[in-house]
Amino acid sequence: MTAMTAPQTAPAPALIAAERVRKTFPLPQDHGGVFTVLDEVSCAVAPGEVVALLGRSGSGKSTLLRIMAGLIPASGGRVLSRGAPLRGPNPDVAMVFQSFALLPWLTVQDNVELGLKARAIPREERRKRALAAIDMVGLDGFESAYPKELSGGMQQRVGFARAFVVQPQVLMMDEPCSALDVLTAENLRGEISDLWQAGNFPAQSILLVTHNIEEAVLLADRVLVLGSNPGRIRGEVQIDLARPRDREQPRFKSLVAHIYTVMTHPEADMTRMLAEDNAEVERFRPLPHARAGGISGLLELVVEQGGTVDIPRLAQRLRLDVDDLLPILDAAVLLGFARVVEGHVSVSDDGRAFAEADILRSKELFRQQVLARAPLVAAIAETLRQKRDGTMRAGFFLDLLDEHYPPAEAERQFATAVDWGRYAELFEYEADQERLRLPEPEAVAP
Amino acid sequence: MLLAALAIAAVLAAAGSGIGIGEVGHVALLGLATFARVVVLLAVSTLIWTPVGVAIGFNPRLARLAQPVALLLASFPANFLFPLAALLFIHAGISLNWGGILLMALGAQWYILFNTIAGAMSVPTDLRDMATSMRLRGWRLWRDLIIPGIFPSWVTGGITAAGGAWNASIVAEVVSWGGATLTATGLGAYIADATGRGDWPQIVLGVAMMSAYVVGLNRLVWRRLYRLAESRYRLS
Ligand SMILES: Nc1ncnc2c1ncn2[C@@H]1O[C@H](COP(=O)(O)OP(=O)(O)O)[C@@H](O)[C@H]1O
Ligand SMILES: [Mg+2]
Repeated sequence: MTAMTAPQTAPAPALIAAERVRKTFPLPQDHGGVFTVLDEVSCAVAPGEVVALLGRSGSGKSTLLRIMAGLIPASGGRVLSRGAPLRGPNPDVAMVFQSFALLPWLTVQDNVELGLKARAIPREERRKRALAAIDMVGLDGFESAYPKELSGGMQQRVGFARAFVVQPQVLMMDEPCSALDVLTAENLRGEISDLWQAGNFPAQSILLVTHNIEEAVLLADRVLVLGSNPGRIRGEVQIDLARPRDREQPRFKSLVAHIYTVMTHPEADMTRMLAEDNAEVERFRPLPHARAGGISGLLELVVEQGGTVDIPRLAQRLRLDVDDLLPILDAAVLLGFARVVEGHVSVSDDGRAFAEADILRSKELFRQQVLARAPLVAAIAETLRQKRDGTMRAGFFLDLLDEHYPPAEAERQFATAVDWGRYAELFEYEADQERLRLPEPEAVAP
Repeated sequence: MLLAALAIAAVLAAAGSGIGIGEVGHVALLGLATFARVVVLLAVSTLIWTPVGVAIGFNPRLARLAQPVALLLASFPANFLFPLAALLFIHAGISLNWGGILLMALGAQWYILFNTIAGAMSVPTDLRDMATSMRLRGWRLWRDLIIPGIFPSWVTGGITAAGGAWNASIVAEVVSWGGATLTATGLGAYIADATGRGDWPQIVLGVAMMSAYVVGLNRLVWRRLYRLAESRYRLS
């Protein structure tokens, strides 16, 4: 077919499209202040495709999904459902939740029938359709069981049946396998993949949210990488692999490695940090949530492997998820102990010295880097030094952090700062009194 | 067992003071009247405050505004209003048999409200999202999600409110304004009256009877509801 004779049809409108969606939440401390979770996010789900939305926890994946499902409004931008602006819950969507979201007081059958009842489908048809869906997920015989009698994997199957039975245009899955153990999760992924491939999948398209890169590559046609703070689409990767997919395929591995690179690519963050050189912003630059011990452990490992390691291989060897490994890498990079380039991590000279030094020397190096590169920890130490008695209530710092972070994040920032400060022997934390204090000077013999 | 002990105490109190078994029966019937008031109070408070509590509990912004207000209202000593209420009832010609319910509710209703708010707040966001996305609405939403979801909290509120209401009956079933005194038929009025006269055998009988009712109902009704809530309606 040549371009001349090609019919001039417009491309089919996306089933769901987010256009420059922004989402802010009010800060609890600061009256009128907000923090931005999503910033100018655009993405679309076309008929017949599986899209994965990949990002670290807290990057706003669930929030974006809920906005596209019409469960919460966006603060800016808009959502189009088959071309028309979406108002209220999206009727084209059914959701599968990480927590399964089953009603414990209803049987499997009644849970699955929920959506049909709301659509006023007659009882007999309801029953038939629910049974078919229950059958499809391999739970026949369990119709009259209650959720708590089932294992996690089976509960999630009920979640799938409940979504399947309403035959949505788009099936949205929010980390459907994250609450399951490794084997059960893998099993379920395999079955989703088989069902999709079999061609009679009960939904036209899938929008999958996950923080697991391999899960995304295993299931999706297209992976959107969502960056954090605030969430932005950082990149898009086409998964041009035939199904069923095999983790051992070289192409599979190289796609995973490539996505690791996109996720760890510091460029976007660096430009932002350079732009915001104002001291206040600097002071509250978020610390990656990694313990000092974890950072030094990781560096030792990388040094042992010759100083440069492929990140996916490292994760695999440690049997860690991207979610667990990346904060440690980020922390090592922030402290100048390592660099991340093209999916590889390499240890810097400081990092090597830190990893190889004895404990006293390594604490000294850590202190030096923390003071130079982790302004929050340095600021806490400085504040304590200003006080005559060298102590301060933890609440003081938590209140300050609350103005810049949502409450749970403020506490995690504080916990990380305390961990680093303790390791660096910059200050001590008395948990029972919730006070920070400067370390006692070494006792001197009288 | 406790119930039996209380019953025996009541009978002994009656026997030791020349109170006949007929009096015990009479007091038991008065208890039934107060019990009826407690039941009506719980039902009406539930009907009024559950929707309000759920609306507040489901809306964090509303919760932030409403909670201090509700706390203030709840901490207001309701007894101060009793004489005023008496005046109102006298003028409107309302019998204290009905008005007493309102007076007992002044303090007790808040337990229902607070626990409903807590219960609504404890319903996980995912379940609410699920219900919204499944288009559960109106009565169906209440039947399948809200009522079962807040049931454990409602039971806690109900136990506390009922206990409070029984206690309040002692001051709510007899109220006066100026020279006029209104009296309701009930166990609370019986105890108040006996106390006023310093009639110890009657006081002991009345209090023992009230304890028997409260403990008995806890055993027979509330504990069962509580167990049901734990086994079936607990949202982990
Ligand atoms: N209803 C809400 N109110 C305030 N903050 C919220 C709310 N929902 C999510 N957040 C915040 O938004 C950020 C992103 O959350 P979420 O979308 O759940 O991330 P993810 O699913 O990627 O882990 C987090 O910092 C979270 O605390
Ligand atoms: Mg999430």
